[in-house]
Amino acid sequence: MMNEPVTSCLAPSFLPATAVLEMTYRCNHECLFCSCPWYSPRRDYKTHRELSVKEWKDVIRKLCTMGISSFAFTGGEPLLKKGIFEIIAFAAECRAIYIETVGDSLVREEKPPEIHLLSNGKIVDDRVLQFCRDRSIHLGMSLPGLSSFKAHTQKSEAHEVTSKFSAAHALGLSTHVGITVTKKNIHELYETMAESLLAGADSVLLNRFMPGGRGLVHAEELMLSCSDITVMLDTAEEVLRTADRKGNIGTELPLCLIDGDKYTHLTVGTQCSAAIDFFVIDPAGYMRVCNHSPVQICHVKEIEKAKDHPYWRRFALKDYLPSQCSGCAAMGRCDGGCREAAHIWSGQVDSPDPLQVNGEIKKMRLSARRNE
Amino acid sequence: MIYVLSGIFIVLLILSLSFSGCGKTAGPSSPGSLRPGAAVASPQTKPATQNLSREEIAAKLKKLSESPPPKDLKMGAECYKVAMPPDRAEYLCPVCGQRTLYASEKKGRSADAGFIEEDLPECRRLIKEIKGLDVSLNESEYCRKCSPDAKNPALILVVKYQGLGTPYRYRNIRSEDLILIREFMEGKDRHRDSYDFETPMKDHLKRLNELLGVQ
Repeated sequence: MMNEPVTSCLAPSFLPATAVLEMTYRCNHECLFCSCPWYSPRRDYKTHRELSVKEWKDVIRKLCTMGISSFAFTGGEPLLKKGIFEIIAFAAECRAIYIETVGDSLVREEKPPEIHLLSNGKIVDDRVLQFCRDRSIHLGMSLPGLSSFKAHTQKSEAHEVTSKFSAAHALGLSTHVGITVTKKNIHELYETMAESLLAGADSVLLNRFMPGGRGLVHAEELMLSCSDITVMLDTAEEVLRTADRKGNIGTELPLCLIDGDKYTHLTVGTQCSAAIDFFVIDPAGYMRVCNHSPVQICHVKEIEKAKDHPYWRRFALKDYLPSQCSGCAAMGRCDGGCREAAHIWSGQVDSPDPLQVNGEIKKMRLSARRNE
Repeated sequence: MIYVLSGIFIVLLILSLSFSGCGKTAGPSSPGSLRPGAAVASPQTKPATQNLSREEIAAKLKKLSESPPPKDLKMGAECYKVAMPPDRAEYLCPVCGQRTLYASEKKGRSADAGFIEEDLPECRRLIKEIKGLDVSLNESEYCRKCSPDAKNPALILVVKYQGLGTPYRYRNIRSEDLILIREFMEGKDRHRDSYDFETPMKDHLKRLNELLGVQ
């Protein structure tokens, strides 16, 4: 007798499949655009003793039993964390639970989790690259401009990162370049993307500048306008199409701002993934819905409490659409931009996206919008 | 005295070496934690494209396009969503907070997966926009914890009428239905569907009767 396909099953836990682990508060750059909440001038983010290597291992072990199948190690700068390689090596040896569709059925499998290391690249060396290559770790490095690199990071030069992409490529290591696009570097976005792809980066992840963390101090000089967003998207598409490579826009955009159909090499996100596809654990073990968020939900030791936490639920159930989006035909496909950036900028999770404040967006509406 | 001073010197030397910094390594090929500045110096001192015109850069990109694209791409679509999400649809229950996973068909989305990912979020938002009627959604059939035996789950519209003890339930509600109810309660004389096509509201009376349990 043939087995019935398993079309649905209870997940191992309420948690999303990806955990972003912030290894340390420390960083060896001082990026103007940094959204790490502990750098906010509001000083409203409580920092505590960082987790030890053993504590991180305990966290990772527990998360694997709860259905996390992908870990992203970040910070601050994760390579500054003492014992970072012991932690990552441990994670790479764990058994994660994968439940995915095979044919028309859900199939459960246990195997090592996907591992991502997200670094500013400053102290990435051949040993780091070899470490990543040996464990199939995907490496992301940040490149916020070329001539504007130092102005953004306050510390380094662009070539200190682009050379790492070349070395990684030579080793056969999978990499992506993370480019935070600001008013100060949009003029050289084409060149920045080209440089990183030619240096060997496999893909591009663009993030528009979002106010938060240290970035709040520099918001005026860094914030993009709606027309800048169009330039960013068009430029990225041009580079990627010419090179026949793929790229993504992180930090979701309001759908009414973009003409998504014209981008064939660029994927533009319009929906928030916080508490749905990923969540964050800060250096001291406090959970947040996403890396931009300054709201500490609970400590990972009491992880089950997050499930019923009103702030977590707001994101997990997508209960945050701005009132101005009411009646829009795209309500099922768009979350009205970045909800956490809206929260930080305007004070409420259901505030308009920072791009839409001050009437900047000039009420662009989809043709099927109702209630007009 | 000399021996004492030598001994003190040796102790100090040992102490200074033990605080010189490197953490434990994990395995023979692991570098251990890095001291700042331990990176190998880069042979480049400026971007390779710095003195090139945009046309020249484009030519280089064109040449790159002739090489095969990378395999096993790890694409991030949102923020730190760096991994490709697992191939499945995920339903989060608003009552118990648990997550139920649904298979997606190989060649597209199954009815359940498609509804969960595309229609249900819109339904949750639309129900809040209906004024003048005590309506809510019952999603319990989608949750394997709340309804472990449910097969072919469907969304249920619950309507409470004053004076009636038992709420009216309509099973298998869709977002288009909720839009229709909202427009009706707003007193609109026409219904506009998702393709912007308008039809008179009275053409939909039969459907409204079914949805609201009114004869």
